[in-house]
Amino acid sequence: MIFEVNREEFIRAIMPSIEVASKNTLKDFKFENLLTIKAEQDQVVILSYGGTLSLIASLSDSNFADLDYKCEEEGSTTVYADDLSTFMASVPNSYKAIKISLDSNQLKIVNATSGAKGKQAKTARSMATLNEVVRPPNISDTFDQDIEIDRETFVGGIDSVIFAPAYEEKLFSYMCMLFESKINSDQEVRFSAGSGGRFAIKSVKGKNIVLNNSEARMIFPKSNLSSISKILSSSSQPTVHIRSVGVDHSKSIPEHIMIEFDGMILCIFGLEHFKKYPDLSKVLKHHYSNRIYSSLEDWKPINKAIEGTRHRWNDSIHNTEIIIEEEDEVFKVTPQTPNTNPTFIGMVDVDDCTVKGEKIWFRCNSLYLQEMVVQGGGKGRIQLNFESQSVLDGITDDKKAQKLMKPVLIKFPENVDDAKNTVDNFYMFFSISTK
Amino acid sequence: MDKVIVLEGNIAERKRVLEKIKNSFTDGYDVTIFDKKDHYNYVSHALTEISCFDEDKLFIMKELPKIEAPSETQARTKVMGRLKKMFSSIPPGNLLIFDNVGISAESFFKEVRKYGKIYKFDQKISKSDGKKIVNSYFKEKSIVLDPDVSQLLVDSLNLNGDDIDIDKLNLMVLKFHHYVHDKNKITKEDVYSICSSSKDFIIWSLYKILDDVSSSKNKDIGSAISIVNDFLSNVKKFEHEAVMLIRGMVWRYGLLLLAKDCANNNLSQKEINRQISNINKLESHGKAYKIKMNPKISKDLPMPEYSSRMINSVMNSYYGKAPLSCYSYEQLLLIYYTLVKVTIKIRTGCTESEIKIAISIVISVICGAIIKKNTIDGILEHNKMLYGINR
Repeated sequence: MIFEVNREEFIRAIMPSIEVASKNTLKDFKFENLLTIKAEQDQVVILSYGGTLSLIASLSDSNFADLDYKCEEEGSTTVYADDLSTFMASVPNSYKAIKISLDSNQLKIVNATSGAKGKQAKTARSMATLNEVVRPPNISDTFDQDIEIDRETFVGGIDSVIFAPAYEEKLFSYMCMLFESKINSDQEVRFSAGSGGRFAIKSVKGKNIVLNNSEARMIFPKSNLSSISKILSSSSQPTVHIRSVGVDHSKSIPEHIMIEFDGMILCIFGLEHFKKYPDLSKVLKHHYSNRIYSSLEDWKPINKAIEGTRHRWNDSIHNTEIIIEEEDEVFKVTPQTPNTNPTFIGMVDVDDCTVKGEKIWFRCNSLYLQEMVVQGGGKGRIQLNFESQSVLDGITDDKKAQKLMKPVLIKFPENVDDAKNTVDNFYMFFSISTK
Repeated sequence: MDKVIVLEGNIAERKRVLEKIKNSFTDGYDVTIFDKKDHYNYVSHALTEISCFDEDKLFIMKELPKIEAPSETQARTKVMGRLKKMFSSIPPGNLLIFDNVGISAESFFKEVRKYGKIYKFDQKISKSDGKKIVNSYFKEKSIVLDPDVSQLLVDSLNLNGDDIDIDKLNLMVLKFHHYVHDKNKITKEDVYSICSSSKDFIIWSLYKILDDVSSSKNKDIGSAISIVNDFLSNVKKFEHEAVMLIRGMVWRYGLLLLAKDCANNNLSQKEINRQISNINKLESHGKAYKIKMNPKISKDLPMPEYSSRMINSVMNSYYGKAPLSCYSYEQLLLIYYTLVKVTIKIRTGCTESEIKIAISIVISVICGAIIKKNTIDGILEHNKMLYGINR
């Protein structure tokens, strides 16, 4: 196996394969940290499979214009992904083109241009090879769902909610992200993730987000989100194809989601545990009794106030109470710990606010308020929607009480992207607490 | 609507109640399991939050959550105290179930009763009730079980006691059913095979078999040898367990030898009991050549080597013949001789195969299949190289 490539472009092209083989892999998986390189006449194919993600990367001049791929001898071998990554990075920058060859169970990298000047090409780096061949699971050629989506929108959506999935193994069914595409008069794609008590939703509406105008609903495991985002961020294509299919026992095809970009096929497995996701529209569409506007910047001191009380109060519930003092047009925000003074945050656009009842208050986990400030971007007008917990006073029917209480819904400032002709909205909603 | 439920006792009943609770949720519900890895902070937050989707939330506590305290006992007291105070804050739709956490404090139960229910189920049942469970299970599966077999199954869980653990019985019945699945005839050997990891049961069952074979004309020693081999193939420390098995036999056949000697001298059962009870249990002090044997003292009194109950058990017949009547004095002398010889043989270094052969010889001698001292010496003193035995 001997082939020649442009060093810089090759490093960029193999990044997704290295990511799949070595990051967020299943522990002690047999193909962990392995890459199988197959040099063919027109392309070099790199196979990687970390247990839940597989990548078949076909690198050629048609996908990577500056690759300058030249195959001298076809062949294949397997190397350690971290070896290839480290050695490629350590090859001197002066080596513009490199020749990669398999020689006596060693993969050798030499300066491809030095030989041309009549000098013997010295081996720059060499690494051990293995007989093992990376074998990703079989991939289907027919799919239940097929969507072609704007790449930047997709990556941006993942990045917006990547903080939100549950982190406790016991909440495994929430360790994922729900991706939905809906086609009405406009196209809408929605990215949702949550911990059971707190959810984050990114919604993007526009005309040209989903190129094939398809509806879709797919659940992506949390463990793969950072890799998917990183891999797709480095792509040069404007759109990506995302397809999904269920298990096919007759062809030994597991359930998978397939993402195609830059001549690469990225597959996500291990989806069997993520079948159900709560209907978030129920919350988003609920008509709340109280809708109050506020400036997110004004909430920043709350983070400090919560932190200040938390370090002396670390052995019990840390909740915060928010009371609306309508006459003064303020939120009175008080962490539920001893010796805490309230912080007053002014309401904005008071005429647009809706307030029902006299005693208007709710309590929630202080962490949710901190996340609201941090993940919401820290500025702009936010809309707080909630039911006052005072409505529960005197209600003895548990079922009725249960129906009355809704999570607190925060709508963050809307962003309009004129270049893409899209409008995106970010929402968070979280449970209220009795303590 | 209950907010707190305490379940204690056998798993079958607890599972039944849990299923009933789950079925009572008409809409969707979320389940969270808590154990000792969870901090009280996390648990208390989760318990007091109202569902985002009008759903019921079921929290099953398998172990008490952790909390900072100087000791484990203090942590338990602290966390139970806090949980007690929190019951009133559990919102509608949330249900906390303590699933066999091992709570017995009445003050805790008193608080639970204000917000929910307490279910306590028996963990132990009598052997006769256990036998009924075994029989009805197999009757339902159209499997005919000999009464001796069902008795043996029940005995295997507690040989000398009057009651058994119901969870263990249910598991045993399932395990036994899987084992005998397609067999036409179910025998006691099937029980021994299944219970080969239960040391007490195997050893006491072995004694019963040895007594029976010794007193019968048919010297079928196969089942006794297979019980011992099954038992030894399941143990972690082979040599240690083999030595313990032989030591147990030395102890039992020593008693039989003493009792037989007394009986041959026409002493009454009461007199035999009195004389043997006077023998004290010894314990060693010191190391190597400085070992001294002294009577073992418990509560300022020397402990007897054999309890009165044990002495009576070899003279009376509980199941079948009395053990004492199964052996002659000469036979017991030969058994004792073999046991001492085998102990020395194992202690001076043996392969596993040699140990198995030595134990087979012991069984053969006890059962009366080998009756000559020369045969025993011949086999035990033979050089292992002649047999070509290796591990």
